[in-house]
Amino acid sequence: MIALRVNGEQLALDGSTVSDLLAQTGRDPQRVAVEINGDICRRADYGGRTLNEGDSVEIVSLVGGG
Amino acid sequence: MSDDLIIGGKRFKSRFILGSGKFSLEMTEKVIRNGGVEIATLAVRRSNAAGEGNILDHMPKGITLLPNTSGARNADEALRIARLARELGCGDMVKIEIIRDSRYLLPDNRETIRAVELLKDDGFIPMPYMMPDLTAARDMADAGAAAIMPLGAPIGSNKGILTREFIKMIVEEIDLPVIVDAGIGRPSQACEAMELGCAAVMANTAIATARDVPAMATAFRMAIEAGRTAYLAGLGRVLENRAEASSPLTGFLERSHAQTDRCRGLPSEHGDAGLRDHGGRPRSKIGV
Repeated sequence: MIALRVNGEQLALDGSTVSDLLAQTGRDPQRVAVEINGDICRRADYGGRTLNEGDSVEIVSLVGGG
Repeated sequence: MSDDLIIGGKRFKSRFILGSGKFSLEMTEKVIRNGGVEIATLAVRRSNAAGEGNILDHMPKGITLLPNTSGARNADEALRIARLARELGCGDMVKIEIIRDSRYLLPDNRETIRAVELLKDDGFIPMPYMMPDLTAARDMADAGAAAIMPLGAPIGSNKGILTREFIKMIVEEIDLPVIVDAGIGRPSQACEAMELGCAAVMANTAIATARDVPAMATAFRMAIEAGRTAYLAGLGRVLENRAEASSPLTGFLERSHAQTDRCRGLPSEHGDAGLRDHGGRPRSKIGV
């Protein structure tokens, strides 16, 4: 288990990659963008990019807005 | 000859840009269809976990997604949000929205100018939302803005084009599409913006707070088309301090002397010495 900060909250990831994180939190990879420690992780890299203890992750999506 | 709206080289038929906030997902689709909308703004926010629908699934095919940088308090945050929006599948057009005032939600022109530069350098097509100020608009144009988006009144207020004199200056002096964004509260105000020579109108709350939301989207579509057609037709001139008769000044019926006495100042071609000047024009005063 890796302790991460995801969207401002503590989360224990049972896995290692960004794909694992999205699957664990029920998010569609085609509908989100991911930032790890302030840098964008490209969608093509979700499967290969491993997360480290203490990483700060932002997972964002598009919503209605003016 | 086409009258397409052209922003950053991209062509659009519709001049109605929709702010997609404040609608349910299902209503968003209806509003877009009724409004004939081709460009809709979106925001970037932390995603909720599984379960909720996504707005992208309710956008009709072919619509242009225009992400805003709402949430940004400076140019660097705006660039960050723009990059995330691009990653989320939006194109290069970005509405720059940088606000440091939580009561009136007025945009920060200084940071917005800086953001236009940063986004332009990063390959975006910047469309800055701004407080109408000709000098700031010039700086944004020089920095590479593809359009200027001056506010009419505070976001969500429905107060109309309070800033019209300053928007007129920007329309007159800046050779970019001017898109009034924020404050438009009714179709007549959208029509007015188009009559002033604006390239397009953006509205959100005016539609979302109407009693019949889809019908209001239709009304906005009609009003924007009417205003654009009127602008292209060339508005008639305004007489500041006199009238000019719309019915002929000749061929009047004969009047009795009693009628003539009562109708001072009215034109007549029959024996009304004193009622016309030497040029044959009716006088407004008699016996002076």
